Amino acid sequence: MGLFTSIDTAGTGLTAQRTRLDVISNNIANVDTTRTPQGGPFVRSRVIFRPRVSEPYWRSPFLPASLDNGIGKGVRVVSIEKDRDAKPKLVWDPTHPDAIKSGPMKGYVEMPNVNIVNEMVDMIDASRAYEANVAVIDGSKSMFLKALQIGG
Amino acid sequence: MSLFGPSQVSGDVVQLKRTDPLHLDSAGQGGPIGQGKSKNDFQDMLLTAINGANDVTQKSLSLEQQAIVDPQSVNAHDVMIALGESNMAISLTKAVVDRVLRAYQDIINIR
Amino acid sequence: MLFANSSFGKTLDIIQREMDVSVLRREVIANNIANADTPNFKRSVVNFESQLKRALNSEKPNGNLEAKMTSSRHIPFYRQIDYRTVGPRRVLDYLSTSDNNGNNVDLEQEMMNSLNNQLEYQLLTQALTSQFQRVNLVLK
Repeated sequence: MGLFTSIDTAGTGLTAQRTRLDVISNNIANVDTTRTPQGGPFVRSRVIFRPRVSEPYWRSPFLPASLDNGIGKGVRVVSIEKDRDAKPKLVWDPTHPDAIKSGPMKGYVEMPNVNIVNEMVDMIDASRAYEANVAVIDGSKSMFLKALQIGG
Repeated sequence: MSLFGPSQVSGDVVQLKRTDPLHLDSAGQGGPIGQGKSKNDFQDMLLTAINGANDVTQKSLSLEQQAIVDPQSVNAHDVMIALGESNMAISLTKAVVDRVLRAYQDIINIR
Repeated sequence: MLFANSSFGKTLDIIQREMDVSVLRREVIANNIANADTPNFKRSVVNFESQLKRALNSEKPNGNLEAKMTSSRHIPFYRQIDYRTVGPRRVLDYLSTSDNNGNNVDLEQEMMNSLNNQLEYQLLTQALTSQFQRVNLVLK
């Protein structure tokens, strides 16, 4: 392994968790946004992580030893995508300017599919992962400094 | 077929086995077999010790250069261990050579 | 310079140059971190080690055939680069992905680079100390 490999790997983890925290805070801030420039209510986003590997990434469900990917070099954020799986929440409010005007759901307002409790749990998870990465960096740094004292 | 032990092989270099006076050794020299220099004279010992210390020092210098240009390929403890080894080899060599020189002078001054 | 042509002197010279580059890199990283919020700011990096590696590798014989030059206008197949001519270059990194305000500084990556730089400087200091101690050992 290299001199600084573990520090660089933990650095990628820090970047990824901070990006995730940015996305979570955007979701929480837009919890009541009923209209976006694209039309329709706000849809929550989430980040997709992938590992950074030094060898080709084999997409097999089982992993014999010859298909090993090596130790790996951290994580990267592949995309930030909208979570369109959940059905939109509907709230009855005919006086709202964004209420649906016609059709079977007349008078309902489409609210974003952001669940505050889930977002808070994700936020705690991201900050714990951030702290764990910082602990890894501290450990690596103290090991390096200890190694510098070899030889008296 | 006799397999080589670990002391006879280093890396991809294998000692040539000479069983006939016409065989050449690894330096390209022929001659009768079994005439190894078994007498350890002072010059041999001195050169062996100094060359050994030099080899260890060269290894530590090349490891330092590698730590600068290619940090991915070395470990911190490897570099520090090589530095310590080279310092130790040089001071051991110096101590041994000093003692031997003093003994030599004592013997010369007996007469 | 003392011991200029031996491997001892050469390593001393390389370590000294790398420490100079390390100080330059510290300033560049500090500038990047200070501008982590500036709109349309692009981070800079210092390139030195890869060029030094190429120069040092060019001194070894590379096993290929050398060009036989019988006229002064023949061009050699490869030129030996002297490592003393290699200098650090500060390069603007405009190819990384940017935020919405045009800023492409990644704060964690800059902090990691700063930590790595610091640790490398300490390692080089230790190596240099040990070089000078080695000479003093023989003199005692």
